[in-house]
Amino acid sequence: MFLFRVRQAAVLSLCLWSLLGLVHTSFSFIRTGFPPNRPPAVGIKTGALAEEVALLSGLVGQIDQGRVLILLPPATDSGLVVFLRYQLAYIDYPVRVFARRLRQDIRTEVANEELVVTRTGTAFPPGWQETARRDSFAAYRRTRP
Amino acid sequence: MMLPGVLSLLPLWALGFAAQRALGIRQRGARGVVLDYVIGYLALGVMGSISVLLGAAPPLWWIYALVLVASAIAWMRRAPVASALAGGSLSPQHHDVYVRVIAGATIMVLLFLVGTALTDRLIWDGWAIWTLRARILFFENGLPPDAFLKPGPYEFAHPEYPLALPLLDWWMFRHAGASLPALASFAGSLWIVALALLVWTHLKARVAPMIASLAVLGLVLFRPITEYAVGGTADVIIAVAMLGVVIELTSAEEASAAASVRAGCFLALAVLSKNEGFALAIIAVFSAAVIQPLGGFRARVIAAFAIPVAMGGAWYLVTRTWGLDVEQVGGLPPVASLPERVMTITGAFSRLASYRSWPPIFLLALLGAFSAARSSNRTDRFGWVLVVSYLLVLAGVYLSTSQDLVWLLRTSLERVVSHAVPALLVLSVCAIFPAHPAAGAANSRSLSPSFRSAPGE
Repeated sequence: MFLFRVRQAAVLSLCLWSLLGLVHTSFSFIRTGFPPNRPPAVGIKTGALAEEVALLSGLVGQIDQGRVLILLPPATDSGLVVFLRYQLAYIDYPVRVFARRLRQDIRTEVANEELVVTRTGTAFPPGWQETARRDSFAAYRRTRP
Repeated sequence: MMLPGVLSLLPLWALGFAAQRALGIRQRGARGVVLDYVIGYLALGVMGSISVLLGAAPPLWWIYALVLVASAIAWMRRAPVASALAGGSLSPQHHDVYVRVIAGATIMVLLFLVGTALTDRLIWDGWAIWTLRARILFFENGLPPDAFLKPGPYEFAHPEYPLALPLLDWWMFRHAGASLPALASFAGSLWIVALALLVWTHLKARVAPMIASLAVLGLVLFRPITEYAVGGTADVIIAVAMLGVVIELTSAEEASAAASVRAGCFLALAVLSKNEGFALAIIAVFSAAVIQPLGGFRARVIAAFAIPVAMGGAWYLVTRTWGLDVEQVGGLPPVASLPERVMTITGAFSRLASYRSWPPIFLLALLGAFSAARSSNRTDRFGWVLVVSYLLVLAGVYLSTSQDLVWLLRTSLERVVSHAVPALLVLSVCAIFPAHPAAGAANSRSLSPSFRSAPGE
């Protein structure tokens, strides 16, 4: 009898798993497209870093559009410049700046749609990645007819 | 431009097909097809990685030459197909209407996923880590020396990660003549199909078709796997590899040298795709040593381990010599911080267990572990020890990381735990449900007969 209950619970788990998966997948698709694409056409809006990047890449006009994503570069500004130069060379979106790696000597904050990079902090603000993705999606959707 | 890129996967599949036939290890049906593709991927990964490490261009014509050579050998030897036991497809071979409905729904979901992937669906890591190197390979016809520097301009893209997946993307880009992100998404979606085929063919030979079809449907709807697969990361490949190893090494009726070689190929698939794969290969040997002290099982697993070492050893040796260490592993943390770290990790796992579509699979795994503990089948226990050890090693990495623990857990836990989900699913279902007498036969019925007989046990 006990094994019978175990099997019943297992069958219910499998059914529930499929159902929840269907709901999760469907909602995700309705909300963002499936699976969530990376935000296209994002750029740096303000700040000295943005100007430096823009000058280097010759993408000033495109950088003025869109919003902010975050780059965690090698620890020095020169490293950052080299990094961006390479990144932009292999990117077919107008501008992309990546947010990925946590560096102890660089703090990045997303606030008021601006990107601020300092060298004094120790960590990202909580939820920065989700914020960046959500905001970028919102910006992307606003640009669509 | 998409079509040549998509079709370029056929030579890789043909290479694997010929190689398996030449070696006499090929199985009929879906499992054979999956391993064909895996072996083609491995050939490209090994040859490409060595070429890139030597500063040369990735191999194009060499792969085609290999296809010809393998085909010639396979034709000369014409070795018999190893086993038909696990053959089959997603098409049900019986008349149960519910199973047909579930199988139909599964196929619809798979078509949806593959169709979705024909447009660019890369997620951040897929774009910035995996296909970045493929784009560089495509544009530069190799990796420039500073691609291996840490710190360096490409540090962000994990230069220490194995190259097989970027090489697969490069292969498709090269045939398409453009670095189309959609090709990488499409390639990712094929791994989901591979997972579905492996789970279906394994389970339908063991449990009621209703259970097998439900398991496959749940798997293809499990978004933590599908999202990262179509998103272009290598995580789904680790899931395929772990599942393949578990299937090959726990299928007692297929205990053979051929199964050992096939398991070795799946371990090599993991090793050549991501750093976690190397851990998986070591854990497989460890699990065999712990669980199977007698008989030929240990020898089989060690023999299987030789394949990934031979294929991936050069990459790991050279990149570690160049100082490209795994940055997530930071050594032992201060003892004082251990309790807090353990609490943080435990809390993250607990939250995951109650998150979105995770609770049922955790419950199923618990039920499966309970059932397996009551069993005396040591071969099945090997699978459990393998998967649980893998999860423990993951927890150990989080414990020792030098990165921000909370950030790392938030951005990776769901993704890496999902590596183990297909294997856990198969192990759990096989442990919970008794072997179905008509499993795989034409007259299989629904689950109900098993249930009616169960109270009497």
